Amino acid sequence: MTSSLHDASPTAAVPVGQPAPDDRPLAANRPRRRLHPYAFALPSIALVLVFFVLPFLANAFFAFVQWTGYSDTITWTGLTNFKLLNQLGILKHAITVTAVYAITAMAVQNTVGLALATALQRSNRVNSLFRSLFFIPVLISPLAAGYIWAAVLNAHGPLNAFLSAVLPGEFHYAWLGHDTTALLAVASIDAWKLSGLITLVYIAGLNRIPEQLLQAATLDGAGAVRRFWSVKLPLLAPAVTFNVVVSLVGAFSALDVVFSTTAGGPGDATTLLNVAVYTQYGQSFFGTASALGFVVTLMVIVTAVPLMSWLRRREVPM
Amino acid sequence: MNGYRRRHGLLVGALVIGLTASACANGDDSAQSGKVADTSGKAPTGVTLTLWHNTADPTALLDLYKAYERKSGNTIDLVDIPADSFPSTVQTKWATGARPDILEWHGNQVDVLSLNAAKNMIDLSALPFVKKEGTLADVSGNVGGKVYAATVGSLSVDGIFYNKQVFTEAGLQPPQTYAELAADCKTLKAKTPGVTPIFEAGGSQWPPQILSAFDYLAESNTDQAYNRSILDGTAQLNDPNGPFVAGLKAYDSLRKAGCFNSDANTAKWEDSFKAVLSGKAAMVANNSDSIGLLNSDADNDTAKVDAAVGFVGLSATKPVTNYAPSPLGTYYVPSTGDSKKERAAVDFIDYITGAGYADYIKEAKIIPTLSGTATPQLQGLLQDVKSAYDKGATLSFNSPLPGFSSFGAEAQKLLAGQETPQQVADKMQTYYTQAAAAAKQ
Repeated sequence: MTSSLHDASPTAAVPVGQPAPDDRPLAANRPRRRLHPYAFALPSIALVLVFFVLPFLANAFFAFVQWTGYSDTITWTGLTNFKLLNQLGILKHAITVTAVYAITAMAVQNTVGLALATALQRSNRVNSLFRSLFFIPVLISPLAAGYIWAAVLNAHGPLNAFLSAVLPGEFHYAWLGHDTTALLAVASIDAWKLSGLITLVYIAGLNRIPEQLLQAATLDGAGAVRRFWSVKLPLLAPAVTFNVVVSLVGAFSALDVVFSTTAGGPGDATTLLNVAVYTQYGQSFFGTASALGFVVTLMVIVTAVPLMSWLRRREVPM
Repeated sequence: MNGYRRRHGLLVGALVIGLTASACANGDDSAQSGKVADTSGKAPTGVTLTLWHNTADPTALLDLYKAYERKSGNTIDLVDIPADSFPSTVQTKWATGARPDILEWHGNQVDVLSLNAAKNMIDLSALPFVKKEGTLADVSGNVGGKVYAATVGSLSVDGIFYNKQVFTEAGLQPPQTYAELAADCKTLKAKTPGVTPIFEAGGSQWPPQILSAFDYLAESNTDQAYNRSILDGTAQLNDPNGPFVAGLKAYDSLRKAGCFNSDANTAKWEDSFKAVLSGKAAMVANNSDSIGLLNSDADNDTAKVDAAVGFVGLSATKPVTNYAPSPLGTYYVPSTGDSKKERAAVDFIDYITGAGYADYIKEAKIIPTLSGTATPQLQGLLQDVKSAYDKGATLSFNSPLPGFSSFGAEAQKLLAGQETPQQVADKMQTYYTQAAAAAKQ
């Protein structure tokens, strides 16, 4: 059910948005009425400007220059940084790794989040306890989470000890030592960390669905599964939009969890774009680091805008 | 509405132009570039000096800092830089504009260049320690004939640490060539199956460089022949028949023969030494800086370490070691603009290479890098290092080559089987070309 601010409620004497009729002429009211929304928004605009727009513009500029710690001069070089990163194989590989990471994290987060939300939908004591428990990882520092999981997934760590106990023979697989499992592992750790938040958003979305619709579906003969797929899921679309976009775009900017778990290794199997930025920066190649950072921004724009508009279109007004 | 947007746009535009202009401008602090050490007058006291130091500093260096504090009346504020990510952490901090009063850093020419020493560091060439360093002053902290660093830490000598008991059990002599290394690995796998022949610590990123390149190329770099050929363009790193590719191939064949530990990709440098000390690993390829770690693993019982572990130098076909100035004990004085602190920092350099040097060497029990001080009684393992060094030692070929800070990650990829030796060499040639162009600017 979407409500509109401009709906005229039948009981209101004056439509919203119009000044109350009084003695002052309308003309004198207009300048004040137009300025004050902007005045309220000004602090936010200033913050966005200083912390997002300006750095973005600076990043966009520095991505196309030759700038290293070796020298003080900064020269415009056009696409040289990108060509060099491509030649070294860094650019393509980092984009691929980031994309796989983001999609895995998004898929795991939303699947687990939705499952947990369905289980914990009702607000009672037990559910509140579990909701809090599943939310705790969200509050842990990402670096701490990475270190803990790196220790758990160690070839001689607790996970392998547990598997050795339940499976026949010794199990000493180095989860973080092989390309595919390392990438899946860090993506899952990121997912584990944020699933609590996704769950809460889904719970809110599920609780918005009117009981009458579900009861009507039950009366019509729909089982639990059918009710979920045909009634709950379509009406969850706003929550899905939010969660999918936030988890996907958030994963593009991942750095701390990956860094503390594998530091981009083994080799470069988990070298996401931001890890590659750090590596370039750490060798005092600031131009190429900015180029990689700029690619992250571009990826977000290219992915988020079409994705959001596609998901918004799926939203069913209640 | 339009007026608001236009003003907004102008403001943003002005800021961008301002940023651009400031970015493009040359450093206007030309007064600081090419600054020479000031040794006039008496050194100040009561000054607090920040010192960025590597957390792997041995106790003797930490005591040296304290000794300076007592003698001079100045305070040293130690800023810890973790040993694991030492190069990238220092460069990242440096890039933000942060400057310590004293910097502990690598002496390799390329590392000096990457901090733009000519502009950012104080020239120490006129100080008395430079003569005492002799030929070391030409390779450590040296850019364009000017010396920017004092090296009091022992040289970092690369070679193979081996567990004596495992070798006795397998009836082997420590290897001196890569062919012997491969043969020893085969014998160890047959005779001592529970022991890892060679423990590689890919998880710490820098150790795989030693066995895959530095050791192999030691014999090719007599009188810096190899790195000079790369620098003047007569040879390329990715020459398919060149020694760099050959070394990478030799490393790859060791990996394929199963000589490395199963968790090589994630194991850390600390783990590798615990393994060779306890006998879980037969050999570890690393440098003499790690002896401090071995000693502390054995609760500072150097006799125990000497009995358990030996050191030998090896290269492709000859027992040649390679060395580099260690980051531990190499100090620079950045230009901070605070002349009092700069004077005090120069005084620190004078002290550690002069009045405080003898006591430091006595406590550290290392081979002195400055002439005029007798070599103390060394622990057995260090005597092994000294005899390996005396047998024949060359400068590690990467020392003056720009772009080699990327080699750690590439060696890791080789270890993980993600790239072939030729691919790694091709990448390193590109890295070198990129960095050389940047360094020439």
